[in-house]
Amino acid sequence: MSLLEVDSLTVHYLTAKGKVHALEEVSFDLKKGEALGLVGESGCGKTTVAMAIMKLLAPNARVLSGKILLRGEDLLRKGEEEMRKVRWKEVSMVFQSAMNALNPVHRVGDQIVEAILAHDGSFSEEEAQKRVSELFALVGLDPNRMRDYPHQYSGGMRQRAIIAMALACEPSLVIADEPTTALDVVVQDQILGEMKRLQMDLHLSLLYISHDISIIARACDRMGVMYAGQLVELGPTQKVLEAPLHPYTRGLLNSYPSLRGPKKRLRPIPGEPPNLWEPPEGCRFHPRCPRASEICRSSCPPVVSLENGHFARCHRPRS
Amino acid sequence: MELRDDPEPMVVFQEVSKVYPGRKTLFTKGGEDVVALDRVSFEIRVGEIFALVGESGSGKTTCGRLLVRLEKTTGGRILFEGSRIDLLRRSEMKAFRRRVQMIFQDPYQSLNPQLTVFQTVVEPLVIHGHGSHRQREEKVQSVLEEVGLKPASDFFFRYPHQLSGGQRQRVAVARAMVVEPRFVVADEPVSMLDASIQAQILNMLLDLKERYSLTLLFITHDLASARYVSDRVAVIYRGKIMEYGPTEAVIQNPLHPYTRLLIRAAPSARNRGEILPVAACPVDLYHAPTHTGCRFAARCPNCTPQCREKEADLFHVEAGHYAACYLHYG
Amino acid sequence: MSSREGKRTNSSKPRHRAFPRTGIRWLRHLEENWRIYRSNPMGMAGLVLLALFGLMALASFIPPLIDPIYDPMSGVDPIIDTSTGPSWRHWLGTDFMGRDIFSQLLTGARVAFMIGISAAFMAVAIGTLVGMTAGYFGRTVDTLLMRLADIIMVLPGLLVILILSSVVGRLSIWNLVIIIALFKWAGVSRVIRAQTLSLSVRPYIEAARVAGASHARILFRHILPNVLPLSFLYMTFGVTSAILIEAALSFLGFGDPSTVSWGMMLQWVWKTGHMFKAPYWLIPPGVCISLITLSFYLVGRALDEVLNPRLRKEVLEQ
Repeated sequence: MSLLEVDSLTVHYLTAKGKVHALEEVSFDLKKGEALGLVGESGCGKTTVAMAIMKLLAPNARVLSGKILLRGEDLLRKGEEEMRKVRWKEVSMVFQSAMNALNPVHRVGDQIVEAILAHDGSFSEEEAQKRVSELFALVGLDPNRMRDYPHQYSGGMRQRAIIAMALACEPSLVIADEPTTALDVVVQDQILGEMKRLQMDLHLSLLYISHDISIIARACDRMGVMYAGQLVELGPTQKVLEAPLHPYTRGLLNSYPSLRGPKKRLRPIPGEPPNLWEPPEGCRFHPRCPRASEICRSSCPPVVSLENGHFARCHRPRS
Repeated sequence: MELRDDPEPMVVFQEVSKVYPGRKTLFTKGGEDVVALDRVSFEIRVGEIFALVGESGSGKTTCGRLLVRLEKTTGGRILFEGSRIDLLRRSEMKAFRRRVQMIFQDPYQSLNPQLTVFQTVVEPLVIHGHGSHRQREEKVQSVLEEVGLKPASDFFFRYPHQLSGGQRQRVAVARAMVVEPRFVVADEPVSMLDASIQAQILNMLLDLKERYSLTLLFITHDLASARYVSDRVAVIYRGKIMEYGPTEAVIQNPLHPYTRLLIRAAPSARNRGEILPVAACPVDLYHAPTHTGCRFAARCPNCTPQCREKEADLFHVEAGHYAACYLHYG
Repeated sequence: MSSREGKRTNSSKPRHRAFPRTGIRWLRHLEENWRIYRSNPMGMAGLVLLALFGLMALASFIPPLIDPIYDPMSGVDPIIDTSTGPSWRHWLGTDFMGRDIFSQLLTGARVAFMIGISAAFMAVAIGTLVGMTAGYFGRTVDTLLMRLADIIMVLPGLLVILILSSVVGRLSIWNLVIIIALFKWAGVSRVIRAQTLSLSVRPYIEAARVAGASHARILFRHILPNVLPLSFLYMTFGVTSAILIEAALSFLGFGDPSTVSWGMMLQWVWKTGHMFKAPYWLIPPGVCISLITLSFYLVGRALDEVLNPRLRKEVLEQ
């Protein structure tokens, strides 16, 4: 059974300039112990997905339809009080900017102790302290540095501390929104390795959100590709990378220069993503698509499955 | 040491150092000096794209800023077309400013929000007194179309906030190209952009380089894009060049353990690659560098007692391929 | 005009027309900014009050045209030779010489605007120039200019003006304006300097340097348009303090006796011993001084909110 099931989620933002079609009919599921990645360019709605699951959407967001089922319970129907129990204890989040997530005037260890005490009444102060030192060891930080302040940590160490904080209440799902964007490649690689190990050891479910397909490729068992508010492809990582169904995924893969193999000229997708105030008619990708035909311009493609567990939202998926 | 294998390189860095002094005030003793660049030497040949690869804080951006004279060196010299750029006279400086341009990292910050696209791109022409008003208009139009902003007249009166990130970076490239420079410093020109736009901009730079027989210094943290655009590459770590040579040689046959680490850690979209075993990575990568010995010693899997005593100099290993590591001495 | 300008920049495809030579974005975005401003009720209240005072200032030209006895300075009602209360003939009564208080009050509004705006304008012009120069060139220039600003800021302005006027004798209204400006630029220059410091390390300034732009070009083309909104904001605050200083000086008897200002009116009330006898004479100028400074202050606060997105309650999606 799936731990998390997102079912045709549609979200709009109401802004001064008009309605933003941020998410349209997004559906995916996440099994226990699995890492799923959502990749997409800025403004494709991937962060909105994360915020919708946490129920931390901006006040001008409107969930028009859809369900977010966590162990069969719809999070969208829960009140703020019930959500508070879900957040951190069931679902926690590793934010993009580790610099801002830690308060500079408090010791790192104390901040995590604080988080534990705030979310789990069964802990005493000493137990929480002990738990934090376990967590530090778990994420590869020296427990002796619990009493340091955030500025005494390097970027990678801060990110580890944030992960420790996310794990503090033993959640079953961790959402990682661009967890390594600000880090150097070597540190990034280590953090991803660390999270992979935690996923295995703790049988943790991970939802990665990133603009960088190579990070998703490295960290996730399955991946989804988002474009202009829609999930255009979903499948096992290996399959999506080697035999992408959707022309957008293919274009995206062609945009990354590689360190291995012969040097080829990149063939990037022409044009730019549409603005979501007035998304294109029909398939949202058709203005940039090399294979667009009449039907792509007129009707929104359905989600089709060519192989078991590999889906694409396309009229003419390549088999 | 002399690194001259091209008789007339466009740019030469000779033992260039940049030290930011620790601030001393009346009441504090003052912090330690920060060495951003430590005797960096390399040269950029006419018509090539030279990539400078490093992590954040490695001093790669400082190199670019020194080269366009946004900052001054504290040691060594930089030659552009044979003359020292710190000794240029006023008129020579003006010519230098026309021949050397820069593209900045953040297209959201590098355009003045108060100026239209036309005003931004025409400014270098106005400064250098190019042509009549009519000619400038035509020049701006043609350069905008060349960077892919077509039709140019649609963009003339737009403000930066009305453009997407990719379009802004194109405007920034147009501003650099409008005076037809000989040499362009591109400081992480694509790192703030989405992947599909990154590739568009990289291809555009390659096309411009061909058309104008430009020489480029391409500064990046991403080895893969350095490989894609550059002919030769230097890998810089904490202000020192660790490895330097033809790009393919460096990528296919990395000599320095640091370069090897970078290549191994680089994520790839195409193959999933395996995650490094955690035990192989030291937990604390950022403890202060030892003052003697190699600055990479603490992270180096091949570290020897010799490395901890004295730092290796750049050493010519094979056909224009240099490394600063004892592994390859003798 | 504002709505047309606003629409032009909002449309994605601007029409072809002569090349605009200069561009100050905040002027073009008047419409959007006005929308933000309008959502602030205190700012609107300030603006309405200001408009009323503006009307008063304009109306001050009318009474002397109706009858010379309504001239605020020299118009003496031939049938009255002492202070009288409100009547049909004199809506707010007359002062000790039989001059019309209402027309004095109207003239006071005009004088307040004149003093406030010209002193604030001068102060802000000097402050902006000094601040930009100090912030942009840094080092010795910065140190010298900012120490000068510090000295002026710690001088007790009112006291110095009092001493000056007792040395020089009576100060004319324009001398007063100049002196106020000379004391008020320092605060502005500090703020503008800070803004310039943060602007001058922006990549677009560095891009201009790499393009070979001269210092003057960078200062006036790139930095000035970006600090002007802030200067404008400080001008509204400056007006408030200039009016207050003038009122205080006039009340203390150091004002320009040939000008009818509200402070001067108060001084006449006090000097002729009508302080507690003639509320119709005392209250209007007092209330006017309070309200005009309040209204400039409210407008300033609301403008601050427009210019500093951080202060806005409602954060708008881009």
